[in-house]
Amino acid sequence: MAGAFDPILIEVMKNELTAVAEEMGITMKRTARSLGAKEGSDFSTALVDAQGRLIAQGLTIGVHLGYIMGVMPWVLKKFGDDLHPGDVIVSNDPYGGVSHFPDIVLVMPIFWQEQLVGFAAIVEHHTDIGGRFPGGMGIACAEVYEEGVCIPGVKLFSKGELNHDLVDMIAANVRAPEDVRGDLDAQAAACRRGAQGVRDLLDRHGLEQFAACNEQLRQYSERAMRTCIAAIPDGSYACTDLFEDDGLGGEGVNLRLAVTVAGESVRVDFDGTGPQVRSAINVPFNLTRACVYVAFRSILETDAPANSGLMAPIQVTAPEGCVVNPQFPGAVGARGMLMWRIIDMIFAALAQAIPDKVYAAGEGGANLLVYTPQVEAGVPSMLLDIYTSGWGARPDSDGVEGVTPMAAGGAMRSIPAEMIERECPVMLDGFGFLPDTGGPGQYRGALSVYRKWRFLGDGRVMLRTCRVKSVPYGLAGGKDGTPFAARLRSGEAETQLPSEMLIDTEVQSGETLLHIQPGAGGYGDPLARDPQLVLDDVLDEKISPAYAEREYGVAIDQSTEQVDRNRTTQLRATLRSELEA
Amino acid sequence: MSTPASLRVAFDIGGTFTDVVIAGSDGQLLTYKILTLPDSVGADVGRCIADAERQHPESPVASLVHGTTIASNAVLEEQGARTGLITTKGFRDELEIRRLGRPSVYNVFWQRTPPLIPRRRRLEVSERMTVRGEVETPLKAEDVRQAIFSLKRQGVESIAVAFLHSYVNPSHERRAVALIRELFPEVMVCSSADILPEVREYERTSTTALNAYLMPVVGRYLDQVETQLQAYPPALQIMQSNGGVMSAAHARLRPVHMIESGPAAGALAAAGLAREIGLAQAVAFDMGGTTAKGCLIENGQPVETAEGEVGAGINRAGRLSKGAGYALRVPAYDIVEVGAGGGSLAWVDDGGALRVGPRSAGAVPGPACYDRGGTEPTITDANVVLGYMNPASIAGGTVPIDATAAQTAIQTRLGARLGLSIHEVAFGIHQVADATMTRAIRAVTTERGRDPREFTLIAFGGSGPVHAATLADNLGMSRVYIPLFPGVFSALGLLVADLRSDYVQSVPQDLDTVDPTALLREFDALVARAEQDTHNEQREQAGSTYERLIDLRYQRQSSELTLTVPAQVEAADLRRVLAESFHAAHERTYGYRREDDTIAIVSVRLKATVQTQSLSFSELGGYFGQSAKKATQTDSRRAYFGPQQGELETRILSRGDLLEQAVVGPLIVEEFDTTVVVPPQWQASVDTYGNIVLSKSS
Repeated sequence: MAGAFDPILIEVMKNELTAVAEEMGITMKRTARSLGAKEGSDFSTALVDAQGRLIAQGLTIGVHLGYIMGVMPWVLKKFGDDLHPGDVIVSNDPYGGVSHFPDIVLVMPIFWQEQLVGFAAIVEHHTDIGGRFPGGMGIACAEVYEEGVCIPGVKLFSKGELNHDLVDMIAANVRAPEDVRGDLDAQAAACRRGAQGVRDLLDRHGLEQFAACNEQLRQYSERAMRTCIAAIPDGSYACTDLFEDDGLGGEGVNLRLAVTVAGESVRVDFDGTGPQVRSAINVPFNLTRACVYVAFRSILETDAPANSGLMAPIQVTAPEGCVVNPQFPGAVGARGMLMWRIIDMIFAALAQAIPDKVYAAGEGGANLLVYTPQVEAGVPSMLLDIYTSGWGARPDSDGVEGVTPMAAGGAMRSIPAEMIERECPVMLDGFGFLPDTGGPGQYRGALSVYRKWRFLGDGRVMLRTCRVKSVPYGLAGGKDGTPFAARLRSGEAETQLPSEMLIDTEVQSGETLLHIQPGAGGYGDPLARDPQLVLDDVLDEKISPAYAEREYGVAIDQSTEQVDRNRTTQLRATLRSELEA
Repeated sequence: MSTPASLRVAFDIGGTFTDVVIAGSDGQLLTYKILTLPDSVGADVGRCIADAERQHPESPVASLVHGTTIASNAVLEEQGARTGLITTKGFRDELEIRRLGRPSVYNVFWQRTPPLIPRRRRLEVSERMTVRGEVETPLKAEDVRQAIFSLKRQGVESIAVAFLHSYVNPSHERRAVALIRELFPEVMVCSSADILPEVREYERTSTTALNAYLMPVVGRYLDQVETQLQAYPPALQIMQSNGGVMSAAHARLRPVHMIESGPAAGALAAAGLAREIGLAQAVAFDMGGTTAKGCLIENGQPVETAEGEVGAGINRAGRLSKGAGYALRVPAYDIVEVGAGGGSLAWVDDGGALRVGPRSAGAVPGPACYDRGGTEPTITDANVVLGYMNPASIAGGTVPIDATAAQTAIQTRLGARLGLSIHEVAFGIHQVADATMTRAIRAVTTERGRDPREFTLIAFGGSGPVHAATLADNLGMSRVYIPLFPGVFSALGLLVADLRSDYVQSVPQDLDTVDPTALLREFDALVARAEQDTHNEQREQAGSTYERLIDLRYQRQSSELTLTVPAQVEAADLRRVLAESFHAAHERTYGYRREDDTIAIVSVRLKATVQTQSLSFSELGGYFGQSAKKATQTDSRRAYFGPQQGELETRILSRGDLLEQAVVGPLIVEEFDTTVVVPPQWQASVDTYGNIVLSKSS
């Protein structure tokens, strides 16, 4: 039967593999110790075949897959004939296929009937990894040596035996040793669960059928991606941007990419992108590649499984030594902001080719806070808090508000206030929408989501925002979104924090920090917005009556809570003639 | 010994039919299938009871158990009450942000379901508890008053109160509830510390908001049913989503537990049958008048989930990837439902494609062939045209069928437009419905990594047996069981359900430092609460069993393992016994243990169960075997099995006819409450339990 196409078996295998990868995620979430993993789900799981090709993914942060794919060639090269049942390899080496030091990948070879049949892999963003800056994401590093502990692809378990010395070594170098130890346990448990799941599958289907199905699934995904690309008009679509913060106080970094579509294939090249910088914003190349894949995955209209076939029609190139293909030992800890910008740029390029299939820009990527209170040594209370804001408006509807970006996949979650307050000396004073933000349009960009903390101990804060001087772009006549802001309040005094992507500041007990994320871009002419939708937003206190008049030319009769049709017609005529003037 | 004669009454309300099963203490079952008329459910059930009493004089009604879709329909159709939320300052948008969640789809055009409570009715007040339950900011009563006035002005019927850390200290929520009762006495109110006293503000708030949204609707409904059934003294009991029943009094306060009330009863009955006949793996497939439901049964139990979401359409795999609907954190069977039932309307879309559902003709006007005013074609009309269903009458002759009306509806509404013959259109409707239902079964099998070919289909509901064989064909399943009383099988589930109440108390302490005697007293307190509830509901204490459970985890984990506390354990041994069994359970579940790590207690739980008099499927089968009647005359009619087979002369038999030997299809088995279609290539037999067993001929 090997090789024969069995449509039911293919469907079953696809879902069985996904279920195994998802079981890995459930094991991780249920046994992890850090807030980021157990509440925020900042990790991804995958299954890989014996040749190192991705065959399934579970719960994922879109770009994480890049590291799993990136690390496999290194694992195979280094351990090719030295892999044994019970081995688990650990790596966080950005120049060994991974991303930045806090992202630690575990890879476990899977043996069935004494044969290597594949790998179970999991990557997690850990609370801390040592180095100069808590969280391992400081921008002011020039070389990776400053950024924390490098784990260069070594065995965490050999034939089932934990290398305690290695764990002690790592734990001694990080600020949250209990989180890191506990999460490494959880990651290993997830890998064992994945390996067992695959062995169960093989017991039922046999290796030949398993391999044949995987080949069919790979071809199926490749066909789906090729069909998707074929629907984009041939041509080259470029996008340039000035990345506003190079971490050195300079003018910023020029970014350029061109998406070239030819039939069923696409090439994305970064020619014209500025050289790597001596700060930590550089994006390792395998991560750059992952950003491209994620963007294309987002416009794929089928739910084809994420495997290596999906990526086959996509080629990515970047000049060596540029900021998206840095050379060792360039620092990469703060690569997050530029990574998200690449995804926005691909959408902006595609908007030229397929404007009806993309949305205006969202908040610009996941934002975060790292709070390190000064407490007695050994008390684990560091907070790594990751959150997002909302989507840009679409060709047919408003942007979704208070949601993760497309490229973050469906897994990421905000951490509940009640969980944060259990474990860290912090109170969350609010998490919600800020009225009169986002880009107006026929369809409105998502409002800014703000987050506000009150610190209960002196300490140090790192605050990351992916767009600080630029704002999320609007499309098709929709206005751009609204900018970020961060304010530190101490008693009655309030300080506006600088427009930097990574703010590093001391905080005192009792101070509050308000983080306003960028509001998303609008789509289409604001004066064409249905007045009823404007009224709903006013009644919901998402926009003020004055804003409705100013931006949409819609007047609301406060006493009847209805649209004032006459005044609206007048207002819109006036606004339109002002625009035309 | 003989128990005094009595009647146990179960009724299950679907979109089209209400199924009533009344069990006499002699084991005899009386079954009724009546059209669902929303305003007279109780009265219509009362008439069935009156009939049963005539047949069983001197048998008082001993219990009334009810399964209903009222709660889930209210959510799906956005027909719940106009509801308000009062919450802690800074958190009004929690209900809309939903922890930033969305399902794992890559789709620029994805739409989130709108929040149950719009922002204008989500109001904030100044108050704050710390994580330890200390008052950090006192509740500002003036804010609460303002919120109440605003919500009153906006015409809400119900208010949810959810404050941060209320699961530790509920005093602010209680004070706010008291103010609401004082200033707005006619409004319904519930508080999160009562509905779900567990950590995590979004999940607790969402569950509480759903509860508030449902209270007025469910309350009005239960008032009406109880009034119409007041001639019968036993307290009405309501099926919960987790397969246990609760009192109607309890259901009024906690309607959020009855979202899957109706479907859970069917899953429970199918699981009971699977256990008795020794099927380890089965899929329960229930197709009624409005929807079809699938539920996976493993090791004789319906698969449960505590991380539910409602209102999100088909709940696809992605168990950690929520955000499309409304979070609902109550124990429930994992049931997938799609809009395909006998009454689902067939229509032609703008692109000229034939579509079926999700709109349904309901009980009124119903399918065209029921001749109750319906003119649009439904799945049932197609099944009549195809010759699957009796062209003169169903339900033992009590529901007349107008085959001409069915033909007219299909011909004029669809045939002309599609340019197809009437048989082709009717068969198309049948196939499109099968495809929709295939998705539901896939959602609980292939999408959970299970191969449907390894499972047996247990098909029931009024329309389930009509579609079971072709559906099984689609999924590669080769065996189908059609139980006795398939049309009212869900109602049978109501008769086997135990009375179940769950109690929980948060105990945030470490296992190695907790005072074991104090810990045991926490359980005693829960038992006292259970006994108080029993007393309040005027039930007998006798027969209650209590299971003591404890949620433990390693310190700083977020998820707990729930362990049973042995009944006989001494206080002196308690900590050691629990620690040992936790390490072992952690290793069994996740593959490792950390004996040096601190074990944290999260909460203690009590599961109070009153076992019901059970129902034996083998006894039912025996009863059937003795009384089975064969068809008085061999009958046949022409039925259409698709373009390849065409129209075939098809024998009509009764279940009794299959007792002696297997019969090869094409074949139709007509029963009081359903019709079993056995296509060519399938054969049918009856086992000792009275089930019709369909198997694919090889």
